[in-house]
Amino acid sequence: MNFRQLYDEHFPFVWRSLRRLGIRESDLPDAVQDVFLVVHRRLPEFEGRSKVSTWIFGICFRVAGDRRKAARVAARRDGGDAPLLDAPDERADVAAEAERRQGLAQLEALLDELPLDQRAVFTLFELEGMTGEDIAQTLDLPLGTVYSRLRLAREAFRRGAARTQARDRFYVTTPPTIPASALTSQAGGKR
Amino acid sequence: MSDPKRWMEEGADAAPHERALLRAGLDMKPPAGAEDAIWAALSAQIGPGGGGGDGGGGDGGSVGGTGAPMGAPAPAATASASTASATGVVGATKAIVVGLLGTTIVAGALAVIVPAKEPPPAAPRATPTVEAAIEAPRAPEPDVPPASSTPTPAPVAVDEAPKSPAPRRVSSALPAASVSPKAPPAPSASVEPEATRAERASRLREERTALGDARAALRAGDTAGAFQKLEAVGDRFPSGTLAQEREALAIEALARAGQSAAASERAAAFLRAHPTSPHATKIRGFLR
Repeated sequence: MNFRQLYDEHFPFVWRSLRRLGIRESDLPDAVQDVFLVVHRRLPEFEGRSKVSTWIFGICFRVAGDRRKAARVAARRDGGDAPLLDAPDERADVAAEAERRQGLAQLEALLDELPLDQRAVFTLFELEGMTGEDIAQTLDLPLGTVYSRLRLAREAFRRGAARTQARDRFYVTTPPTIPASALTSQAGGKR
Repeated sequence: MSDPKRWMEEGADAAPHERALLRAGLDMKPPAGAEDAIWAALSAQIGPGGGGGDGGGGDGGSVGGTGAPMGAPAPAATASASTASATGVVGATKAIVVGLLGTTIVAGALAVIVPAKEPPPAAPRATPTVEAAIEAPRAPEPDVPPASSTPTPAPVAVDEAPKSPAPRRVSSALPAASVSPKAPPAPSASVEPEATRAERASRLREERTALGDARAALRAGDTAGAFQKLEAVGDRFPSGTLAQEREALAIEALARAGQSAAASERAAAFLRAHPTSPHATKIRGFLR
């Protein structure tokens, strides 16, 4: 397989994998490029012992780990990454776009709480739909470790999601289902 | 041992709000144009041998070929340096590149001699590289000038120079520097009243595509190009549906070009005009 084909075939995968591993939008083009530079150089050594995507994800994982470290250093130095905007994509509706971004931001906040190794397992399994076996091979881990990381990540995600939900309820939704009168009478009745 | 059910699967042990949160992560498509822009940057680095792809020689031998610094015409390839970041050791090649830059710019009759210096803000950003983690001994690589992919508050020429070797881009950087801080366009009456729904939709599509191009240019490090595109969009759609997005991108482009004062001024104007904009949080980041 030549490099161009490889690039075309795996570009979206690399993009979303890095994104899910916590690379900010502002850094994605650079990070994607880093990944493919490594892919290009190492292609002759790639022996086909694993799937290409597995191999490439391994590279994404290392690039992401590297950049996380660098980002932490930079954040300490100058107060963080510059905020980055996305122009609207295919969605015509700006409101829908805003909503989508909000969802994405919430998800990112939750994923950001996970250590990178758990985050990788969790996103590969839940979002990329990889099997445990594939993940084990990708990250060079025993299958049991993959499962335990998935379990830990799920628990952490669940806790975070509960927090998010509580916050949303508090700020956003008024309870239209329960009339105020019912609420007071019920509360009064219990006392 | 067998895999547990995925949370997104039917009957899995996940609450609706957990699924809803997770679902946001399914949709992570690269924006239009990103693939090509990054490819352009890549091929500038790996040289025509690896980049061509049509010879089928992308693998194998071409790796050795990457030793040729910059693959001769590569500096002209847009976007290359800017996205190059963190590719590692800055060696002798940089001196050559910087030297080249110097001459180009003199040829371009620009009074800025800054590139003769080391590109300062970018250098410390050369992070511990991926390469180091993956393979210790490596063949000499074509080094690229350290990229400044995050905006550094520096005079525009400093930020602009290392990533714009071609005179074309250096000169085109000028309009960027002179963009006047104008208030974000408010919705005005100049929208064609007779525009039908279909016309509006197609105009919106056009506006969106044009903005997408501008963003791609910005992502690729071509701030000057981004500015030109944004101005073109502004001329064509002075009160477009996506005027907010356009102004937001312009602010970002200013910041990336090192004009943080101008960026801050326009960010403030933006926030006054659209305090509840979905972009407000990000725009606030440009205030200083």
